[in-house]
Amino acid sequence: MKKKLFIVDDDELTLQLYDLLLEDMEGISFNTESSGTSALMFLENCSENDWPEFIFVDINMPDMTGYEFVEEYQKRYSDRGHECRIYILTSSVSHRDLEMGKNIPLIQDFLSKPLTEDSLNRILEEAV
Amino acid sequence: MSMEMIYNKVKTGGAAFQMQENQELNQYLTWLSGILNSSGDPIAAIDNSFRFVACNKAFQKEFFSVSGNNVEVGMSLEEAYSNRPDLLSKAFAHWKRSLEGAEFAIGWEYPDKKKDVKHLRCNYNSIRNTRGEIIGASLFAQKVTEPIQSKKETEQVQEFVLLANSMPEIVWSSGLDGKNEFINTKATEYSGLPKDELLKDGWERIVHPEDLKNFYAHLQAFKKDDKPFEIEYRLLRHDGSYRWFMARTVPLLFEGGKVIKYLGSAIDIHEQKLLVEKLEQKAKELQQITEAIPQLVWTTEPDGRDSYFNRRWYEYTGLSMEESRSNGWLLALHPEDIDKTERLWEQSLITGEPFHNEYRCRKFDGTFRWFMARAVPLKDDQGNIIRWFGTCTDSHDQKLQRDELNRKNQKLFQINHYLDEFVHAVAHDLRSPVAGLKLSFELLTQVEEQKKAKIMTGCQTYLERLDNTLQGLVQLIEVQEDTSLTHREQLDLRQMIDQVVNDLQEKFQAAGASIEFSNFEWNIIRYPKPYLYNILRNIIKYALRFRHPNQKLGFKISSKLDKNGFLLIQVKENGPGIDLHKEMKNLFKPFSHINRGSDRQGMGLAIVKHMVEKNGGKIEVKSSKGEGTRFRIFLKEYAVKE
Repeated sequence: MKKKLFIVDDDELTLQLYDLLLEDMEGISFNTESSGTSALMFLENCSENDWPEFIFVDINMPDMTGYEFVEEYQKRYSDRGHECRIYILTSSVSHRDLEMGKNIPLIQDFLSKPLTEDSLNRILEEAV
Repeated sequence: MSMEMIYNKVKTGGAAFQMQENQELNQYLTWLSGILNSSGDPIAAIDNSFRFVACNKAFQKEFFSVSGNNVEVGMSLEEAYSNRPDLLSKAFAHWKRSLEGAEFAIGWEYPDKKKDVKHLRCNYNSIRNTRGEIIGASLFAQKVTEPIQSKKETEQVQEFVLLANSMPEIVWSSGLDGKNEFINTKATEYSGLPKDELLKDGWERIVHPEDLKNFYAHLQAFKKDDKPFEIEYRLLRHDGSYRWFMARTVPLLFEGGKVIKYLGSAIDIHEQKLLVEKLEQKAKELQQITEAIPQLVWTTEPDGRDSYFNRRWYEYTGLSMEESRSNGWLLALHPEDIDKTERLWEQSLITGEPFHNEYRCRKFDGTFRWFMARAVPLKDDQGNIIRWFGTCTDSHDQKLQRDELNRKNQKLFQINHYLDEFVHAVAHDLRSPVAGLKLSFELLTQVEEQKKAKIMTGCQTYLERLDNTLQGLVQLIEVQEDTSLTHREQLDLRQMIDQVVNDLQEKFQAAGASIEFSNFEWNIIRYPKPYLYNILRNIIKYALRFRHPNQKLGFKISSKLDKNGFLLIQVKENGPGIDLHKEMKNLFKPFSHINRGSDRQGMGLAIVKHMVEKNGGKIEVKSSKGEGTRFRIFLKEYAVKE
């Protein structure tokens, strides 16, 4: 059963690199979006079966920050009972971020950019 | 014949009655009554039943003047004293004693009708018949007014002398001529001169020569007015030193307002006088200090009314004594400071708490300077306030310094805050491409050949971004420099724009861009050249970057002098416009996403804002989607450097 990943990052170049990174990884399928708005739209149209199990969101996005995305997600989907883990991607994890993250239970953890194969594997294994 | 009948006869003046055997007796009685009545001394007799059996005219007269009653033979004591019951019991007692056989005399004082005090010496005797039985009592009174009085007087004088000699003060009495008749022991003890010498002319000898004149003058005045006489003078002591005395003389008035004597005393006030002199000296010194110190000094009554200002006050404010007195100090305050000061002062007056406030005080030339005013209350032993002492210290320079410091602090705070945000933003913009590069390198080791090229291109992009960010950083730091070091010159706006366009030729042409110069009313400004260049360049570059991809970019630029003296440059461009609602907060933020883009400069508008605002100018943006953007840049001209 393939793990479903969803990556939201405003930098197209980075998304391309993620494409390269993930397309060769086994056992996962993934989708990417380049803004919080388009990410939410994707989820709207997502079927139950295709619902991502892991969502990686960049903090720093122009139209909607990573936090704002998570808040919207919480509003819309938190009672749907999806098994979904959300991770925040940030240039550097600061105390401030951690504090903020504590208040939002949906956020599993903060990860430093870039998302690497190692960090991905670790997360996938933990989730099991 | 009863005694009563005989008495009656006597009373009626001895009217003749025919009693053959008693003619001799009758004559004898007449003689007797005559003798009795001729005496000026009151004589009376009573029988065993306390009835008057005889009383002479003098007695009747005296009795009347005392009691207001006419006493008659045959009256009982009670009847006689009927209207003076207060005298009855005493009289009764005396008579009783004598009826019991006592012989005695008593002195009796009483005020008569005229309120003169009368003295009577009353001799009481018992009357016995031939067998020795007591049949009555007699009273023979002597008027002894003068002898008693003079005895009393003597007693009083003796008492006086005793008192005078025991007093520690010098005491004397003098007659109407001013010559001393009596001097007490202290006088001789102190002066060392014997009494008779002092009495003769000694007094003038012991008064200090410098005080003599004053002494005589006082004496003259005193003799004229009969009022109490007071003087301070120095008296010579037996050891040759002088001591200060306070002398007082009062006239001894007789009844009727006649002066018969003068009574005087002199008290040693030497120590007190020296103390007073010392205190006066100290007060003077204090006064000198308050006049000399540079502070403005003032004191007020407990209710806040002004009682004193030092010289500096008058010198500084230029107010007159009259103006200052009645709350005049308020006159000298800056109008903006009056309310607060009045309020705080009222509070202090009520609560007794020290007062302090900083306010502006008007100088005589109309300028204002800041003063730090402080006042403390002076309290007596019970804790009541008897005076307020206040000072005003010129704090003008310090206040201005303080204000300057505060301003600088504020600015530093702002800069710190700005830098904080800046650092945060920069951190991201530096780390982001680095993160990308890391990922790229990781992938390069994994993927097959054909994908590598793509990754390499990506690396290049990341490196460019990094480089741009760093360049922007350097720019921003350079722009932080001190304006006072920048060179300012008269610049022609039109020329500057032309130069910018020339430098951006390629981009300009690529965008098919054009500029329309309209309303160029004013275009000269004194400004640092690189600043103006950068401002114009960044605005134009921004427009170039965010232009409509398919539309020719058009600029409309105008300039004029606004009402505040700023050079207003208006740049309108027909780009796609920005949703300012959303983006306003990010528009001028360095490294915000708006200032990012594929061709990253990162700084752009942030730099523009910073430079424009550096010396007091401002920038305004109006934009909406589909309508393009309008920049209004208000440039403040730089003054000529001193």
